[in-house]
Amino acid sequence: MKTLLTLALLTLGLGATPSYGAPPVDVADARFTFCITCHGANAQGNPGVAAPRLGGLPAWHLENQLRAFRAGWRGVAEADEHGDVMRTMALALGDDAELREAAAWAASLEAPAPAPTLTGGDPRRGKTLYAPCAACHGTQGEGVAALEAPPLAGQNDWYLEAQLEHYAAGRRGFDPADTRGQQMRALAGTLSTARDRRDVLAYLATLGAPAP
Amino acid sequence: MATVSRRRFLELVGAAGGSGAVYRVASALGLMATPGAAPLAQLAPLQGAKRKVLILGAGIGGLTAAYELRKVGYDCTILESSSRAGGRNLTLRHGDRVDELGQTQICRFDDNEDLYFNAGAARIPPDHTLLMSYCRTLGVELQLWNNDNRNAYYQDDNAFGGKPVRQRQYIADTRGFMSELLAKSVSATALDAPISEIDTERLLALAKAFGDLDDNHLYAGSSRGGYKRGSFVLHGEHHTPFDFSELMDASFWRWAMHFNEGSDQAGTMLTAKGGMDHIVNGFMREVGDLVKLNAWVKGVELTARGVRVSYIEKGERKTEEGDFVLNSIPTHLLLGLRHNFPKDYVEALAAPKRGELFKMGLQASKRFWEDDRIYGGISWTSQPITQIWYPNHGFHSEKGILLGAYTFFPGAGAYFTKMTPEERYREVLRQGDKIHPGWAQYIENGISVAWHRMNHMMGCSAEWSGEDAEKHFQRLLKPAGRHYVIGDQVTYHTGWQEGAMRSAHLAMADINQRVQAELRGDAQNA
Repeated sequence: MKTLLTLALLTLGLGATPSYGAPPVDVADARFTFCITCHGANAQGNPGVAAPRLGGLPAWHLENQLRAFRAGWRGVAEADEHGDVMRTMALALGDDAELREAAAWAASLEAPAPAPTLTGGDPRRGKTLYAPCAACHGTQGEGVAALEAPPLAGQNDWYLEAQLEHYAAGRRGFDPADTRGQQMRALAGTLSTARDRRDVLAYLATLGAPAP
Repeated sequence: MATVSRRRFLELVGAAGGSGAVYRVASALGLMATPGAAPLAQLAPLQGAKRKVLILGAGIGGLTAAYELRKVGYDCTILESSSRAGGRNLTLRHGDRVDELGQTQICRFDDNEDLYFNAGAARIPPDHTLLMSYCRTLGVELQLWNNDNRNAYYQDDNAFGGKPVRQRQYIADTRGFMSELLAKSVSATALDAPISEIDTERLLALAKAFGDLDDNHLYAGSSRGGYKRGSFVLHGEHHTPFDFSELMDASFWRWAMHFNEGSDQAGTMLTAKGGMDHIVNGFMREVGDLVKLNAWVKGVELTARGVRVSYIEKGERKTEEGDFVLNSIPTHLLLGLRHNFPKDYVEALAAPKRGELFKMGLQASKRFWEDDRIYGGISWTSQPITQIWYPNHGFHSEKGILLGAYTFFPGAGAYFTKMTPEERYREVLRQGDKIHPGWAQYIENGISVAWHRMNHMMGCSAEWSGEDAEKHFQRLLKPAGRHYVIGDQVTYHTGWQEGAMRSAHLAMADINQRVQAELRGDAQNA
């Protein structure tokens, strides 16, 4: 019940601020350029420091992620040191307005779609495994705002693999207040082996980045 | 036959063969006997030809390259993403800003030129001859650095009840016990040939001298370990030896006790007087006008004729094309640029892992360690702070800057960096109290540098695994087109300024060859 209520409140919150990314965004905004130190000079993600692609992601998802980091739902587990870096950054953002502006700024960046890097996955098997995922993340992995399920297609495959591992190991989705994370953690359990995860990611790689 | 002065002779050689020839002949005449006086790359002057070199990063490697290339006529620009030159050569003083991502700190040391903290490069081994030669050329004054102080402490939570012991005591006892064992084995067994009887005698003498054994070749403590009481006008009584099993319970013998046996980490070292950044300042006096600060590289594209670099400067997108690029951007950030590098090059770039070294400097209101007979050097502990360094200058003055923590063991980086600066400070004081009980009363403030959280760097010295080095290291020493990776990251001794310089020289030597071949080709075609 409590979970449902939280979800409802979150959804209400979403409704109250319908204009994500509404303030005009200056892509050269000096307040946020430090983000590309890690996330790739073109916000396309950087495997060198395990920082994912930001460009092309919807602002609502980036905002959710920033809030999750601030709340301690991300980046606090022992083996999640990369997440800890991001948590420090999320906490360093000023007020809520600045958080929204940072998300809008990152969403406005034009990042080239990443090339697949993982090998050995079977996209046909992955397609079958993806069926339950599509309920939230969309049949094309395009993400569903109403469910606050982020796009998967167009994200760096090495990042998605690491997150699936984090969910499976309970390093993400461990906090009862993190309802979306808890849900994802449960579903990540259906991809229980490294092979399952590789296969799903191989399938996602066939979908291509959604149009912004 | 008319006599030619040596000076005149060198001038003639120079006219005939260029500066490289002068150096070789001068060396042969014994005029330049100072080791390391010659830079490695002997660059031929361009003599009017035009070549543009873009240098990415104004650390020691990039500055070295600009300094050398400009001298022989190359047109150089250094693009530096941060607001300062120097890279991991960083000396912190009053008011300096530490640009850690998300946790900016301001150094609160007193405004006093003696109160500084070398947060990155801090010491120079005499074997680093290229760096030595630049210090000489740039007029950087050096002073001794004590890297080995037997009066400093070793503290281990698993031995001696957690109490600190003087390193001299630990080392004297350990050597004593080892020597005793050696003496026993030499006496007890008739050693096989080729060790003759006379050698046996010498071996016994060596054991006795090495461990300070008594006439019966037994170890009963040594004045080397220090005195319990007396020693000058009163009879000196040395310490009772530790129990051998207790010495073994401590982990000092595993590694730290032998720390200074190397040529990089030597007992006797040097440092730049007044702060290591005097080396940076020396270079900047020569090439500072070539450095563009706050210029963020976004892309590196190999072209048919050179390399195109796109970057952002003051919010403006810019592009420059060079005949060559010398790139010292850390490989883990380089992977995040837009690039068109070949696949094997990208694989090699991904091989080194970013180091996670952490240092903290502390300002003390009183040099309490000098009252405890410690002048310079390093105390060691099994706790995460690992080391405490004592200043090598300003003896007996009022205040001093200590290094309160230096974590460098793999995997230890996250320990302090997960904390806020304030938490780090409190934790460093708590741990150091086991070595210097009550020291917190003298500590006034601190400043921490977590290199893998520093803006524009996100990493300290690169770490190469043996396997990765074997597979990829040589690839990174070679260019991709006209693009060269430089910096200490592409050396076998990462984390040393000498490496940054040597890698720059290696790349410049290659560029020099290519350019000379091109110019010869031009001349033939003309």
